[in-house]
Amino acid sequence: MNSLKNFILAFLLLFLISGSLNASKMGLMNQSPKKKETIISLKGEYLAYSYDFNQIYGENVEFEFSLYSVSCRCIKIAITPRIFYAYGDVILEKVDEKFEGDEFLFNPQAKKGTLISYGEKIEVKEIENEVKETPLPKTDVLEELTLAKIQKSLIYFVGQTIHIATDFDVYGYNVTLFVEGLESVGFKKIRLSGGINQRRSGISLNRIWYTKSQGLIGRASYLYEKEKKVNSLTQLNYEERSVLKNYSGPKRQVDVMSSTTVNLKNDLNLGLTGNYNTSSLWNTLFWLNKNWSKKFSTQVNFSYNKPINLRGEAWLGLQSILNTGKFGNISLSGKYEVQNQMLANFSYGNTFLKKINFLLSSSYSQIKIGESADYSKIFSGGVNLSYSSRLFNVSSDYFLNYDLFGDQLLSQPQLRLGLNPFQFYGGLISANVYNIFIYNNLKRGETEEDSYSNNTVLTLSTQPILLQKGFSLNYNISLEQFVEKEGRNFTSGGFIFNLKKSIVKGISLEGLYSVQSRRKTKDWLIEGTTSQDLSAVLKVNLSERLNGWVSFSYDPKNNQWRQSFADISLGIIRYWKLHSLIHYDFLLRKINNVDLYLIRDAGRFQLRFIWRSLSKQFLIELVPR
Amino acid sequence: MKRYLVISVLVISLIFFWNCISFKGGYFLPSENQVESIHLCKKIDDSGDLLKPLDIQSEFTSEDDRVICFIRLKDIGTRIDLRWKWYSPDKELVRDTGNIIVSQGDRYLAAATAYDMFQLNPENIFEGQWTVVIFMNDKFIGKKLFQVFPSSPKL
Repeated sequence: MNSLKNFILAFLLLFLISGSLNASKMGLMNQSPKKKETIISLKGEYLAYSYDFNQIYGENVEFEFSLYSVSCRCIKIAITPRIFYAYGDVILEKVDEKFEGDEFLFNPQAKKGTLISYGEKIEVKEIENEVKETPLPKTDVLEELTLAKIQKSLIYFVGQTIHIATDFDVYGYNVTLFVEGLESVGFKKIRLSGGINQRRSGISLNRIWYTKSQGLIGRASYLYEKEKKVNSLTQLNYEERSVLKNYSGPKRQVDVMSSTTVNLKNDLNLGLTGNYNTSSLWNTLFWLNKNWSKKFSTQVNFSYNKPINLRGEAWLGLQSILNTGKFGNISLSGKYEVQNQMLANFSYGNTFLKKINFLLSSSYSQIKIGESADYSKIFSGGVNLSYSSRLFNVSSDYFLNYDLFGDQLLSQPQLRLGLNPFQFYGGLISANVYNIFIYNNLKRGETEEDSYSNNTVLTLSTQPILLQKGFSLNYNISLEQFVEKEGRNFTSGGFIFNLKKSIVKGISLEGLYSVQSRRKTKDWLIEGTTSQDLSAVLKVNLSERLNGWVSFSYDPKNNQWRQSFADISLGIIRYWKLHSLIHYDFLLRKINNVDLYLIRDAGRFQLRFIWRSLSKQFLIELVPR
Repeated sequence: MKRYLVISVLVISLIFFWNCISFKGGYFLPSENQVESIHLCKKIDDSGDLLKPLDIQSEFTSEDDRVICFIRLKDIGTRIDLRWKWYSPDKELVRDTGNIIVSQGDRYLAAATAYDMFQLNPENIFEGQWTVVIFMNDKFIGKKLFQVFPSSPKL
C-alpha cells in the first residue's frame, strides 16, 4: 500500500510539473506575443496554420509591410525556410504611393520585397530594395504549399488573425483547432508554432513513463542559450523504483549531466561538462581551446573522475595540432595526473606524390596498477606506409609495443597486398584478391619467440545474368587459405547463388542458396564443418499503400525449417499506416516476436503507437523528423 | 486510495482548463474554386471523365513540339474564366489565350481540369527560362517556370 501511495504521489507531482511545463512548451498557454515584437500581423477572411509543416495559407489577407498597407487575394508562408509570398491582386499602398501587382515576394524582417506584374511584359519592381531583381526562391516549396496540404495535417488551426514574432513564433487569435481534419476546441490566444523541435531556453520536462520492470521514470532538462556565445544544457534523469514489487536494489536513482560551451572570441572558446549519479559516481571536464591560426590550435584541459569505491583522478592535459600543408600534419598531446600517472601521444601524417601515404605515431603511458604503488609503463609506436594505384594497393606496417614494467617487447611487421577488384567477360565477372602477412617477435626477459601467419582471400562475383525476362541469377564464390607457423592452418570456402524471379508486376520472389565450408588441415589430419542455408523472400510492392516481404529459411543439410520473418506496411486512411514485423521460429514452433506500429506521418514529426510482444510494451513516440 | 484518485483527477482537470482552453472557436471556411495542382507536360490522357497530365516535366528541348500547362481545380461553385499567358525568356508576352469559360457556375463541381498548349516552333524558340501564368476570373492564381534547351536537357 505504501508503494502505491508513493507511486501516486510521485506521479501527481511529476504530472503537475509536466502539465505546466509541457503546456508552455507545446504552446497551449495563453501567451501574448505583445511581449515580443511581431514582424508581421495577418488579418484575413481565412487563415490556416499547419503545425505539421509550419506553414500558413491565407485568403483575402491584409497586413502591414514597412510603411505600406498590403492587401492580396492569397498568401503563402513557409516559416522554416522563411518564405513569404502574397499573390493575386496585390496592392501596396501608403500615403502618397500605390503599387499593384500579381505576385509579391517579401522579407518582413529586412523590410524588402519584389512586386511582379504580368502584363504585356513581366515587370519587376523592387520595394524598399536597392538590389535589382531579387533572386526568387525555389518555387517547389510554394507549389507544394496548398490549402489541401494544410487540411491533411494532423494538427492545424484556422482563424482570421495570425501574428509572427521576430523569433518566428506564430500566434493565433480566436482560432479553431483541427485534429486529423476534425474541428475540435477553440482558443482565444495561442502560440501555434511551439513544439518539439523549437527548443528555447528554459526548463522542460521531456518524458515521464512507467513500466513494470523499471518503475516510474522522468526526464527533465534545462537549456540556456545566448546566440553564438553560450550554450548550456543540463539533463536530469530520475528513476523511482520503490513502486516496484520485489525489487531489492536502490529505491531511486538520479543522474545529472551538464554541458556548457562558451565562445569568448572567434578563436577562443571553453567548455565545462559534468556528470553525477547518486551511486557516488561523478566526473567533470574543463577545456580551453585556442586557434592561433587556421593551421595551428591548442587545447588545455583539466578533468576529474571519481569512480565508485576508488580514489579520484585529476588530470591536466595539453594538446596541439599543427597542419603544415604539404609538410604534413603533426599532433602532439600530453596528460599528467597528480598521482604521477601520465599519457603522451605524437603523430605525424603526410601524403607524398598523391598516392603514397605515410603515418608515424608513438605513445607512452604510465598508469597505476589498481591501488598498488606500481605503474604499468608502456611505450608503443607504429609506422605505416601505403601506396594505392589503379591496379593494386600495398601497405606495410611496423608496430612496436614495449612494456617497461613487464619487460616485454613486441614488434610486429605486416605486409598487405591486394589487387583492386577487376572485371572480365565484359564486366560480367568481378574478381578480388588480397593477402596479409604478419610476423610477430616477442622478447620476454631472456626468452624470444617468433611467429608468423599468412592469409590469402580470393572472391569471384557476377553481375545478375538475365536467364529469362524477369528472371535473373548471380553468384558469389570465395576461397580463403590461412597458414601459420604453429601449423594450425585452415582452408575455407563457400558460394552463394541468388535467383530473382518477377511473378507479376509488384510481386517478386528471391531465392538464396549458400554453402560454407571450413577445413582445418594439419599434417595428414583434415577436419571441419560444412553448413548450408536455403532461404526465400517474397517481396510485395503493389502500391505505395501496400508493400512488404516474407522470408523463410531452410537447412537442407539437416532437412529442417529454421525461421521466418515478415515485414508488412499497409496504408490505412489519410497519412496513417500500419506496419508489422513478425518473427516465427520453426524449431520452437511459435511466433517469437510481433512488433506492431501504427504510424502517422505529420510533416515535422511522426506519431507512433507501438506494441512489442517480446517485452510486452506499449509505447507512444513523438519523433521529430 | 479513493482520495488520491479524486485529487489526481481534480488536479489534472484544473491544469487542463487553467492552461489552455477557452471554448470559443469561429466558423471559418475557405473560398470556393481552389487550385489543386498545376503541371507542365507533353501529353494529356483524355480517357477518363477528367483529364490527366502525362510526361510531367519542367525541361523541354527544341525537339519537343509543344508544352502543355495543365490545371486541376476543386470545389467549383461559381462561374470560372481561365486565362493563360506565356512569356519568353526575355519576359515578353508571346501568347495570351484571353478568358476561356471553364464553368458556368450553374452547378457544383467537385473537380475540373483544363489546359493550354503552347507550340514550340523552331522559328520562335528562345532557349532559357520561360514562364506561364494562369489567371482565374482575372486574378493571378499560379505560374510555372520551364527551361527550353537546344537539344536534350542537361541532367
